[in-house]
Amino acid sequence: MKLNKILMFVLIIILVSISIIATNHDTSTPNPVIDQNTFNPDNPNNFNYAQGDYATITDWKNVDFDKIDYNNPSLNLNNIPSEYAEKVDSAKAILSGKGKQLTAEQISYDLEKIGDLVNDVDEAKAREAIKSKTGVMVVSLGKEAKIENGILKSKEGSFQLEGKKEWEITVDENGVIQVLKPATINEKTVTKQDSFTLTKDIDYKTKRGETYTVQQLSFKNGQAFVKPGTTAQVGYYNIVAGKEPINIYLDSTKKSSGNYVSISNNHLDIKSTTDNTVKVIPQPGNKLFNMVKRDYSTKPPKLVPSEKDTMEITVTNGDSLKVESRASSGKTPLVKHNHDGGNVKIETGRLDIAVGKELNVKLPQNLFNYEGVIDDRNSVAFELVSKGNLEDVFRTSSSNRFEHLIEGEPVLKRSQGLEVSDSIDVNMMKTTADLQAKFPGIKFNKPDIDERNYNFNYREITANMAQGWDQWLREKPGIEKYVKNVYFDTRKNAGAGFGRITAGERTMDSATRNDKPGRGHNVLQTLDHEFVHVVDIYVSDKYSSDVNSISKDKLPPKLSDLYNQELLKIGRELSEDPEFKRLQQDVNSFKGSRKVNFAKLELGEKKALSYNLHYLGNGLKKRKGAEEYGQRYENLIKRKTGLYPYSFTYGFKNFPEVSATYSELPPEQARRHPNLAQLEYDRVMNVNPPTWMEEKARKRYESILPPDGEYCQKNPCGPCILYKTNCKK
Amino acid sequence: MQKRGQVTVFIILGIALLMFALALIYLNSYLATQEVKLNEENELQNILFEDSIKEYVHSCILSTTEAAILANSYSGGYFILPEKSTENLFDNVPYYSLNDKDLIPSNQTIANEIAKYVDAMLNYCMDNFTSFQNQGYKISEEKPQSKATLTSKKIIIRTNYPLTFSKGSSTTQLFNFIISTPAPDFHQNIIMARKIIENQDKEVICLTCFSNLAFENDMVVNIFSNENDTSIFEIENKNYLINNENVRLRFATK
Repeated sequence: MKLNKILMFVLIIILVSISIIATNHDTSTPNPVIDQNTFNPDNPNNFNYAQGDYATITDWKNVDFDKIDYNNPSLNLNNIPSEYAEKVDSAKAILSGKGKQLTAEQISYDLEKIGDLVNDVDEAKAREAIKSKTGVMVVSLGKEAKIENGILKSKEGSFQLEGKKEWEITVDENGVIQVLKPATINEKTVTKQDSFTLTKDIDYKTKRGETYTVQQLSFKNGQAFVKPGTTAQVGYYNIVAGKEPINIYLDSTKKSSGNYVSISNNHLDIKSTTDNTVKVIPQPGNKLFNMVKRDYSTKPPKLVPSEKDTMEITVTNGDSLKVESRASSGKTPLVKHNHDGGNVKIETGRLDIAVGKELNVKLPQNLFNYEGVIDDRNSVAFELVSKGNLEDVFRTSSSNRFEHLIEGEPVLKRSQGLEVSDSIDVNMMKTTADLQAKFPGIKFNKPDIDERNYNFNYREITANMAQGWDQWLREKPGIEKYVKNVYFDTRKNAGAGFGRITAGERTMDSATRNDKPGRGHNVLQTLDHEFVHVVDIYVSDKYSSDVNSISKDKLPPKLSDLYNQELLKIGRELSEDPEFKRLQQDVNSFKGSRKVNFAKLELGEKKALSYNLHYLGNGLKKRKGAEEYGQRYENLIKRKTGLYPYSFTYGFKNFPEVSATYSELPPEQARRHPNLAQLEYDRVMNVNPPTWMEEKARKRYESILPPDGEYCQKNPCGPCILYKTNCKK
Repeated sequence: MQKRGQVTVFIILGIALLMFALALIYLNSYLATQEVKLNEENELQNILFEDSIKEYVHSCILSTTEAAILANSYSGGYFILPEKSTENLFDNVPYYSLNDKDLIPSNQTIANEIAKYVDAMLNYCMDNFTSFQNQGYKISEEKPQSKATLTSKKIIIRTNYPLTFSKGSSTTQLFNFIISTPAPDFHQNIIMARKIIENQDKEVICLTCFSNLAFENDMVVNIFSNENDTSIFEIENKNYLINNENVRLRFATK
């Protein structure tokens, strides 16, 4: 045992000695010494790649890249010259934590080997690498991204890099790939590997050659779609997806499925699936729906977006809609609804239409108040059929009018008596410039601010106004001789002056038609009425100039004097009528809260007559307890005089409404007053009328007083009998 | 011989007396016949007069009823508008539906309003019986009071209109007049109005729910907007004219 201990001690002494000798030998040997820590280009093999100092490498030509120890702290990949970038093993670099040192060039050779281009390497360099390798500019790679088989993949997208030089993309925080450029993308360049979103305004050119400006349009496996909860723009449509995506087809030959919108220049198909909603909002500029107006600053005029035109189509729960252009035949588009348990809602201008099993309309409201701001939206003109029944048509105009036709016959209308046309031309009348271009002889004054603020925010007329005038002016050549100026405002009123008519938007809407007495509901009658005033004023003006040279005592009567005489005669006869007197007694005996007073002649005969015949009846009708008197009163005036009480309106020492209200009476009723018929005819014949006006006046006169009728057998008939100052027979 | 002569005288006298008696009897009988004839003529004249009066009154009730259909239709079937009516129009109309409340008048209400119109306006047509007064009649009248019934085919007016005509000793009294005039189109307009109201939910209206009915009956329904979310409807039957005017049933909804 002791021996063993001695042997062990000796062995240890020997080992320690050997090691001391060995150490002394190393340090004490000056030549030759091999420095493996410093890179020697002449002897690169001696470099200790594991422990050597990579900073000593000045020439990488002889570096054995396979031996590089990426864990060596002295290795800085940035120092590796670019010509050796290909030799850098990015994977090893990343494993050793040197991924961020990788240069763009180094990355570019190993793009597909890098598992996460955002976190494994310097993202900016990765983007640079992608750009240099594929030509695709990446603004951001988001939170993570990689490239596999030439496809950039993010959490929510993929992007085939090949064939997309000069494209600019970015991966957002959610991993969605957004395409920012180029300005124009050809449909052919989008592959089945692409899942991205065209975020900014990009022109998307289809294989058929149609181009749509798109925004927020996504692609998945090459199929265009709108993501749930987002709104995409495709051409002149905004498409809003609900809880499910909406497929977008820009090639009508493709088989459509799911919720979808299929778009081309001359059609639009919308289909919803059960429990889903597809909303399509055609935008100003949309030519399928003619949401355009003419800009006359160029020749020929160009079509520009009409900002007043609004439309929104919502298809839900299995229903579908097909819109076909009929522009080639000059007609507004045809909208075909297919009911499959759901509903379609079309909001356009002030109209709100819903079609499902039945067709419902939310009745549009009138233009409130007397003046001030109006809802000036224009609707879109189209024809809607449901269940394939082309004989049952719902037609709208661009002027917020609609009608429902069965077998071509209108059964329901909201049109103020105006036309609801399926003609594109008619519905394209939208602005003062349109009227100006069509009727150059008249000056249509664009609405402007006026001191009374009638026209607050009103700088352009509505389509309803434009189309009302268009319809009225048609077939009236030469009318510019009398109507030289047309003014517009928003009031519920129309007026006439010398050579001018002013029309308020509210007058052209239906509400006004109901609160003026003695007239129909046709807006054209308002303009007819004002035109009578224009001619009256024209006659009056001509009179003044014509009688200049005539001495005062020989002056012929004025037209207004003749009207006054006639109306006073009618009024006096009525005042003496026993029945009228009895009724007056009855009215006088009315014991209401206030006594009913008749106007006394001291007021002046015309004024008193006007009060008693125009205002009193209507006042009584609205007075509690006196309604029956009011009814009887008005009935008696109408029956005895054949005139509307409104005819007795007094103003400017005249009865200014009699000529216009008489012109609205049906011939049988007008026959009661041959002298008024005569004045109506003479008035026109005194203004050297154009043919249509003369014809119209003659026909009207002869319908009241037929040439072979009893009156004309006994009395002189024809033009220029009562008023002939300037009459041309 | 003298005795024979006396007998002859008596015979002659007897014959004369007989002749006289016969003449008296004949005269009496003739006069009686004449009186009967006169009475009969008077009676006939009275009957004819009564008939012409009746005819006159009937025709006036008829024409006033037609005028009532025309005028009342324009006021939604009312002569005097109910409280729930528009207030801003020149010719106001009743609400048939207001805040989901159905205010459409019943057939009987519409008939009553026709009757009111007839009672108020009838004397315009009677023209104070001028033509009869010109024939020497004295006429006194009381206010007419009518009752009306509207069915799907016609309207029946029963007017209590006490009239007394006298000329000389003859006096005729008339009280009750009944007329009936076809009014299927008027009734159809009311049916259409009901159909519209049934198919309206606030400001939303189902067009296809009544458009076929309108088509089948040659009607056009015009819609006008009014203030305060009110819409005015006007039902016009293209072939239904009274006094050359289309009958238009107007009403409001809100």
